[in-house]
Amino acid sequence: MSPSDIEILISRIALGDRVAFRALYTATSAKLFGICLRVLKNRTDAEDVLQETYVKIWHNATKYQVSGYSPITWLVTIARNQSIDRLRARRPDSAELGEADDIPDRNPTPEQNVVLGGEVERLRLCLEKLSPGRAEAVKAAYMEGYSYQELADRLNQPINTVRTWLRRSLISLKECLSP
Amino acid sequence: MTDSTHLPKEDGLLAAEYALGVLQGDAREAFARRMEQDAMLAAAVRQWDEHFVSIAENIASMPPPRSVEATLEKRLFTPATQAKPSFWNSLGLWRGLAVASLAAVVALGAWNLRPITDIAGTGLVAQVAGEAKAVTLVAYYDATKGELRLNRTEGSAVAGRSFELWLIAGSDPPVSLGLLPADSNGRVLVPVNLRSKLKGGTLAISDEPQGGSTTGAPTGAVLATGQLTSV
Repeated sequence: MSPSDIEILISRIALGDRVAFRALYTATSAKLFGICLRVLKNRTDAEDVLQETYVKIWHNATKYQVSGYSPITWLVTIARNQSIDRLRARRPDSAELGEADDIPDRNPTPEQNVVLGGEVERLRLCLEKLSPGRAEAVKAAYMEGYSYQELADRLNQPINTVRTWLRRSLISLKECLSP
Repeated sequence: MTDSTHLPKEDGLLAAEYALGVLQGDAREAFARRMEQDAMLAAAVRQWDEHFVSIAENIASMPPPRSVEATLEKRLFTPATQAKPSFWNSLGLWRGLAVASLAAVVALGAWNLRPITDIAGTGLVAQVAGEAKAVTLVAYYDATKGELRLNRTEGSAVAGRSFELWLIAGSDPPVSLGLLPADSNGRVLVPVNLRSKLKGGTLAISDEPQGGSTTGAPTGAVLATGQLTSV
């Protein structure tokens, strides 16, 4: 399913079109569930958050058109943000979770596969230009939801130092990504 | 599209930190509040979101269990928990509207010197509104004439844009009922094949290019919705 197909579905969902909502779920739920699982590393939580993600999609579809987001980014960002929120809510009293090993790495069927667009390669190339370790910190912050404090704890460095070099990384990325 | 190129450097960094998620607590909330008011900040966050999303690209897709969709359907579409736009949930609004429309029917009945029961039961009414109050109207469907009478209380399309009226019946895709009449008291003749679908259906108004959507589906923001109920 192409981004413009998904865009049409979202605009129909904005009008309360349930058929479009089901079609969007069929086309994108495997992609979004993969993201929820990767962030949360727990099946029950991921199922729960996936559901919340689609509830949000249903309710916020009216706001999509004016948001300026590309359709896949909009969907993935909702799933990722909902997952991170859940992660943070449970984090204070949970131990560090390893990679779940009960999650098989199944390949998506073609119709479940969603095209993300041409930005992927660009960010990857720009991340590669950062000093060693810095790109990993950016990716970890995005996928694990680490705050500056958590990054500082993990890297065993003062929080201000971590903030300074992460901000430098972001400036470098911005320069590299600018057309 | 809003250009965020000329954002002050500190704001550009805060936008990146916000999108990445490292900005937390009070700082995050303060930024979120500013972002609601400042389109340039929102655009900067959106640009970062568009880039960062590719970090998630290589994650393997995984079909969720069927139970998730079943629960979701139940949660969103079971009448008791139906919660599309928030004002639908406002029972008070619907009661108020029902009373108001009954009063209107009574008045109409008296005027036409016709038994009220003739009219009640054939009419439908909808309060069509949205959060931003970009456009608000009350729609009354007169089944005897097959026309919708629209009384717009708020909003008009900006220059170069048009409001388009849509009907969503059950789970059918939206069908255009044409452009919203420019007059605040307008009438729209409903095509014969759609008349039986009005009851319980939803009216919606979208913002479209001048002359309306060319795709057959809404292309712009949905500004207002409302369900047609019997009076």
